[in-house]
Amino acid sequence: MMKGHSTATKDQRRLLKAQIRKLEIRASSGLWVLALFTLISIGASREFSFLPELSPAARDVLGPSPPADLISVALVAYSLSAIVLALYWLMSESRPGGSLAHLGFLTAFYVFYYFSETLKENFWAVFVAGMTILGLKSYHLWNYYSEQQRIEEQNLAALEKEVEEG
Amino acid sequence: MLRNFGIRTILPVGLAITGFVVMGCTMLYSAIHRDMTEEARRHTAELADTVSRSLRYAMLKDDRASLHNIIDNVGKQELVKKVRIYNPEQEIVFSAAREEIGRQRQLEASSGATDSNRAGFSGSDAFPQDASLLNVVTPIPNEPECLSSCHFHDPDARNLGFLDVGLSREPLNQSLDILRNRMTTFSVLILVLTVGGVAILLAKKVLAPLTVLDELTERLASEDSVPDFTARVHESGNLGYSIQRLAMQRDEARAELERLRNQRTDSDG
Repeated sequence: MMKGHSTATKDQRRLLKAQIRKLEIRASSGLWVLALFTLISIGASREFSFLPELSPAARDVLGPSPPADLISVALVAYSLSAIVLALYWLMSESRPGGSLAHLGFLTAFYVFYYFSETLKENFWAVFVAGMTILGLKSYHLWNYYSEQQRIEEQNLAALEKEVEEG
Repeated sequence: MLRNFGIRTILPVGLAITGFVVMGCTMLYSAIHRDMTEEARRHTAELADTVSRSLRYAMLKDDRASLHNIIDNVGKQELVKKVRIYNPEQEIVFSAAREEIGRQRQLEASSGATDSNRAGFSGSDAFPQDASLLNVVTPIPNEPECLSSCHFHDPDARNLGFLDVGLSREPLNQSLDILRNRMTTFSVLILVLTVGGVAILLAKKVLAPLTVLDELTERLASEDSVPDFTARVHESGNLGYSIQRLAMQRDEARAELERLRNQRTDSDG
């Protein structure tokens, strides 16, 4: 029975350690999205010159680009709502969602400005908005999962103390 | 440090405000930059139109000496960096810089540069070597009077040539630099006020009382004696007072328990 108890404790410790590692990875997952956004921004700063030009036929299919002012209004509205929501979820200490959707939206803004030929003038606005929103999401991820990790580490310490005393 | 309650409260709010203010100022600066550049280009186009009208009579009379004189005088203006006329074959026939005369104008295959039949198009993108200039190319149209003057042109030609005027962007750039510096200063002041104000307010009104309560509960948990009562000022003071009363009740209960234990020991003895 003692042997069974020891095996169960070992399994529990292994599970806790695996859980802690998983939480560590999740806590830093926001940084990967930030790095990806930085890479996309580097490409945008060069106006995506490394990508092949769209053919006139493809441009015809896409149609005319929206006016730059309209894109800017959409960017302001999106940034404001994303920041307010991110702050709300952060303060309510709820489980964080993914940041990939925001990465998609921000890339879309780069693309819209590129097609309206105003990417150079509006690059920094999109970049700052992106870093703010993704920075908040990354912080939320880090805050939430590192707290969970701390709880699991406390559980592991308590279990190990129990084993020592047992 | 990042786990500290104060930092966890202030950092996201500070980041959000900073990001939104910087983004807003960047967009505002871009919009003003665009408007000022368009205004400068419009001014350049008006100047080019004025020069074109000034040259018209001399062109009709084929008075080349007057043409050179007008172009030289316009070229002497401090902000005018380039004035020249070239023919439909892109050969420069008149210029304030005499050494250019007879040369071929360099064309870029970028947007707008080849469509030189459009009146007043702004070709600053077409002249990479003239990035510091605001360029306007104005066509010189073939008019009916040109056919009846002392010389004649091909009646089917749409444009007889093009007037190319380039103004220095330096005053525009200086204005934009001043604007950028002022906006940066304003943004920094706004950020200091909002983020600093929020941080001070939180620190004074929320974090400081929480720290006091935290210390109080820790002392009560670790020591047997109850510290002096806190003043009942606002909700945090009330909370501290209630915690101390609870601690007193705990101590009274402990004393009562001890007394009963001693009583029982005495009665058993």
